[in-house]
Amino acid sequence: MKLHQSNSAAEIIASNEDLVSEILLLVPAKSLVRFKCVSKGWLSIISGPHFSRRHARLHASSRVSGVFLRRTPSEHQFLPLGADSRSGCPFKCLDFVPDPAGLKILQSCNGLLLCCSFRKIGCQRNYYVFNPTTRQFVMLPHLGGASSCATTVYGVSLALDPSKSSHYDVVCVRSTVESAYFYQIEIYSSRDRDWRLSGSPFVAPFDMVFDNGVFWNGVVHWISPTGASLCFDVKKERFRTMPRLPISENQGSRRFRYFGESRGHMHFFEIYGSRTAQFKIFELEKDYSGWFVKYHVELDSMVSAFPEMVRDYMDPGYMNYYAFVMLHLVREGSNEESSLLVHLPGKILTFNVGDKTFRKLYEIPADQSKGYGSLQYGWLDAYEFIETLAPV
Amino acid sequence: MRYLALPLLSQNLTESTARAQTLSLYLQLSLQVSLSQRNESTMSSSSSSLPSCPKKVVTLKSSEGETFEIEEIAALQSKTLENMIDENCADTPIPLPNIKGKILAKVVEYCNKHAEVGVDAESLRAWDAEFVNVENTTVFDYILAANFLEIPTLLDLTCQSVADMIKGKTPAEIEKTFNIKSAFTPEEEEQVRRENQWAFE
Repeated sequence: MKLHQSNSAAEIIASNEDLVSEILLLVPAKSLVRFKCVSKGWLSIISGPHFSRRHARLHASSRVSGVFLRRTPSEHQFLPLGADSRSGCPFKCLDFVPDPAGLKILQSCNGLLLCCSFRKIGCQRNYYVFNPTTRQFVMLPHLGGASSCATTVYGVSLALDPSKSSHYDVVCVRSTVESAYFYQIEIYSSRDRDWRLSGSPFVAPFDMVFDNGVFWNGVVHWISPTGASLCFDVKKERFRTMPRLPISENQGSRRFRYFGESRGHMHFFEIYGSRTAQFKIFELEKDYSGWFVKYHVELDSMVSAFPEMVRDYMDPGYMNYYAFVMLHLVREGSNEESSLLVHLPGKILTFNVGDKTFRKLYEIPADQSKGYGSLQYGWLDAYEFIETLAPV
Repeated sequence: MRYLALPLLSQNLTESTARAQTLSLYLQLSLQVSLSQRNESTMSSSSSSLPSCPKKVVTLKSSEGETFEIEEIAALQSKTLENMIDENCADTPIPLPNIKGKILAKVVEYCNKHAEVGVDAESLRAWDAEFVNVENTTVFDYILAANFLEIPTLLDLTCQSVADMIKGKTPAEIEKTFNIKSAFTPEEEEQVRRENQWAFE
């Protein structure tokens, strides 16, 4: 095998697709998106399904790059997290596909977004799985075939765990033909590209809500306002139980409740009382043995620094005397990198749960403000953005 | 030196008993002699690391004809060399015409270091980091050598080093580094860039 003197080692490597793949597998997703412009060969490698699956699994524990805030159902504000605050916004409008009814995000799951079109009379709702990093998307086939017109969909959840597999499932809880009291689960698998019924019809607590399911540890979790819960193990296709939510009975009326997942951790917390700026954040043990207190949060210093958090024109006993809302708890490898996004009138702050400092993340433009002291985002309006090449 | 306990020969032994005793004495003596002979030979070979043969060294020949010696144990980290050693009965130098001497010397150094026992993970990591702390062109040469010789750890180390070096670059810089001809028309490139504009910001 004679070396041509004119070819440098770099050129030889560049002409060897296997070697290029080995190198590119170790490059972060965002850089690879840029490198699609390098050459047709590189575009082909980076967009190839085999490569993207391998890359998604290798980079399964990528950091949360930012959070999408839902301003209006189809317009989002992107808040970059971390040191790289110049980070470009992957999209402003959900316009990856021209659905006439408009689209909204239902859930963010390890880098992929589950979206759906709005209800429009005469049309069936469309569900999409969208990867904002690669801008790939797929429209899910409609549910249930013949009975689809009579089906009510109560909730749809995306289940993707790139550390285990680059294939995902979508779990749908819908009504049954037989009875109004029974629900049925139908699962879409990205491997088979179709829906199939799973298990037999089941009953649920009367007030159970099936939108905003939280996917964690291979299981989709739903909770009801009264604290009941239902958990569905996606791989095993059966229900399991979760320890009782750490709801305190005697703390007065509840002002706020958060139930969410970030980077492999499941969190729950509630804020009671009109003037509380202190609360405990609970995390669920991976083996479901119980909830433990992960953080004690005290926001009193924040309240002093930002007087607009206090609606002093109101009666102190009024439930919303303190104007703040937790948007999302972002967990990273260490406590120092984990932060709570707090929304006050006109701003979004990030509160570092490790060193208990806070800084301003985003100033809401005056023209978007809904009036003095008002809050326009809630915890269901924030979606994590994690860069991934995971194929849809 | 062991001493044989000689049975007392009494005078009243019959001839057959005397013959039996002599035979037994002879057998014991010869057993002792062969035992001591075996001990000597075992003692002389216990100084080598392998019980039955001396340490094996393999000779590699670079593209310019320079030879490098490497212990067989260290060479076994390369799947290519492992195969060649299996087939190479005559112990002649293994020719590697596509690896320059300068690079081969470093690859031998890498294999020797990674074959050492008792090195803790932290200092090995630091050593690896120093190993790839060289000119890009040298790292590319290492990649080609590691690829040809099929040394997985060295390939991972060098690919990671290149990945870290290129991840912040623009497409134009990548094209320059690898001397790649893009083959996109300006319109095609513009379209790909526009679709992925956010990654450029």
